Amino acid sequence: MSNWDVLVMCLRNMFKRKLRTFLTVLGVMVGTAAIVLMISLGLATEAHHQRQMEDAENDMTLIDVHMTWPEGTTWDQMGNPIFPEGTPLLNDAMVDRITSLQGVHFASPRMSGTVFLRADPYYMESWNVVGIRAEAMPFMGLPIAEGRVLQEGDTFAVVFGATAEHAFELLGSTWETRADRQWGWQWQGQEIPTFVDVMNTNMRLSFDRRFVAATDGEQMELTGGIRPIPSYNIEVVGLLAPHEQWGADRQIFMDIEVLLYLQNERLRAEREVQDDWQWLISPIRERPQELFNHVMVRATDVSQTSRVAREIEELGFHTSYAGQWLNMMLEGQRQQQQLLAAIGAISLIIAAIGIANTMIMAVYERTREIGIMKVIGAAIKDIRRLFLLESAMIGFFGGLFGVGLSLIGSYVMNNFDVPFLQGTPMPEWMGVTEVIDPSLVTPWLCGVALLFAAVIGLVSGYFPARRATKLSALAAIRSE
Amino acid sequence: MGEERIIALEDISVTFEKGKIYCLLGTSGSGKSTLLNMLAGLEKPTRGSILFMGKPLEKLNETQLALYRQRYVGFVFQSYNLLPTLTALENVTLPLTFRKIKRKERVRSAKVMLKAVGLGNRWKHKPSELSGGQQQRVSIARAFINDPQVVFADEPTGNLDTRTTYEMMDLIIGIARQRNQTLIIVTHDNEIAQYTDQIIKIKDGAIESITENKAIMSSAEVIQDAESTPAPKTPSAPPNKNTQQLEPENGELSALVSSTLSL
Repeated sequence: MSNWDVLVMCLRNMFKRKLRTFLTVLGVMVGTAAIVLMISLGLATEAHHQRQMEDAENDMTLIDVHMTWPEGTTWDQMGNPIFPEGTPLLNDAMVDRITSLQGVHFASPRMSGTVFLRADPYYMESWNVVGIRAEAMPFMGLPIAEGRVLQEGDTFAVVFGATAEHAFELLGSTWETRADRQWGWQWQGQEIPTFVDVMNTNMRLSFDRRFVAATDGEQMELTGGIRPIPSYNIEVVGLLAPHEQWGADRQIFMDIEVLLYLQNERLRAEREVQDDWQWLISPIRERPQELFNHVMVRATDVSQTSRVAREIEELGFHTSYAGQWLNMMLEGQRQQQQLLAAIGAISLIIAAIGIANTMIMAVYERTREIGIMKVIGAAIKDIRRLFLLESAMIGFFGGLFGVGLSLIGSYVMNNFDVPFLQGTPMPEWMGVTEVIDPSLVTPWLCGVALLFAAVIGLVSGYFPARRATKLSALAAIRSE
Repeated sequence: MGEERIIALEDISVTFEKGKIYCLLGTSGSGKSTLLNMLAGLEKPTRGSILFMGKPLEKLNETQLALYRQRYVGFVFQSYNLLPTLTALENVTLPLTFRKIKRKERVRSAKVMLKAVGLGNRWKHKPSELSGGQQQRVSIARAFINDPQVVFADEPTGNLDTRTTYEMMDLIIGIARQRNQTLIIVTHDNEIAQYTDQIIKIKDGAIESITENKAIMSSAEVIQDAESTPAPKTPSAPPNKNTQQLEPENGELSALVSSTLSL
């Protein structure tokens, strides 16, 4: 028989039992649609993940390392921790060791302090300063708006975060007026006025609250006239563009060595101060110089991040990184989707059984026809082709309609809220604000589903077709 | 398996010649149908040989047997055995379909064939819309369409009334004669046997007698009014000059069956 004749005869047989064919096709359709939709959820997540990785290449490679405080840690009178023997310490030597790990782009200690700035007649109170190795700043991936980031050799140089420049106040303003400005402007949705052009203003920095709390004369008085409160000229070398990561907007960056030096200066100054003024001193605890509370590490690329983090954890530290969170979330979603895909697969298996059943019934029903065809010259090959093609077509059409159905389903999911499919919302700090389509049906997926459905049809039809070919022609004609 | 062995046929040795019309005559259970089925390649003998144009049929595999039936054999059944989903025309073209003959050609030959059996205007009817006689005509058209060397008819008139029986016999014999094709009819009906050139009587699985039929009948002699005789007028065949010959024992003493279709 020519292929065309086989096809015509097949279609005729299928149409002869319209309802049964339809129901079998329906089964495959539902099965295919179920599995396609389930996979589409996974694809959507995958695609989203991929996009996120690309968008956030910088952030995804950063790892924050901090110390675990082991059992048996005690504190000295100053509140400094005393660790048990053998505790891995996050010090310079350890930073160097981390730097030497494979897949590490750079590592830098990161510590924060509180500073007070004066750019007369304005001042800035109790502001976060972040100490890092100046040469590491170019690797942090922070976007610069003006000037430059820190570089090797910078000492009393700072880089301002995007909104830090708004924090200047008129000297002598009260807390109430400050609060008015700090919060009031933002409440009203207005732009906060910038009093100081940080890039072009001479500034002095101090760790002592009294530096900004009073006029020069009052300061002399406050310190008992012994000496003026120590302060240092600083140079603003750069201003960052707004950036979500690391809370960089509100921070001021400077070299960690200078920060440590300034902190020591503060401690020395505090020892000179009368006890009466203790309340004025910002409660920063003394810390052994060589011990850092945080080290930031950048992996060479995204794929290395989790491995590097694991190796650092093996050294005895805690790590946290954006990818960790994302991975955990994705893992959860993946598990959920695997469950759904399994349900889809089950419905497809049931559909396959349906095809097999239909074909077996067809063989029974057509036993006599098969016998007649054999007697008048049909080759075994012809009989087999007839049955295999029929089951493959049921699979194919089921797949075709199933893909159609899943496209509709996907559209519905993407355009109407289907609550249980929304998954865990992305945390805001990851900078994800776009609405995520929960379902993604790619042409590739459609093609594979179609092929798969047809193959399932073929496989389901194999045994019935074999049965048909094995029928004795003579016995078949005799059957009524 | 502990099955009882029933010997359906034993020590059969017969030769069929091309263009001759044979009748396998016997009561039911005599083994005549079994012989027919073996000749048609539907059953295989446990021992012995069936030679068709010198080739042993029993040694062919399923594919080769399918080819044999496709190329050389036509079949007419008692119960017509038309495919109910196909029209008369499609039923007739089916053997050609299996031979991968182009549709246009198939339809053309089928129309010719249907005309020959007197169904020129009923191409599009399904078997269920045709009478028994008409169905058998379709079946005859189907049997002859692939221009077979031999046509087997298994009780072709068993389901038909007397009058239709005569029509059908005239038709099938007429076509066979016209085309010089061998026709082997299985029947239990003595009257039918009278249409044929040679009557092979089978009883209890063995050949009882082989008779050359001198007075070949046609329906005209049975039914005096020949008004509805649709069969093509064919000359009453003279007795074939190659007289039947029993196959020599073939040197196989053990042979249950030894038939030769020498065409």
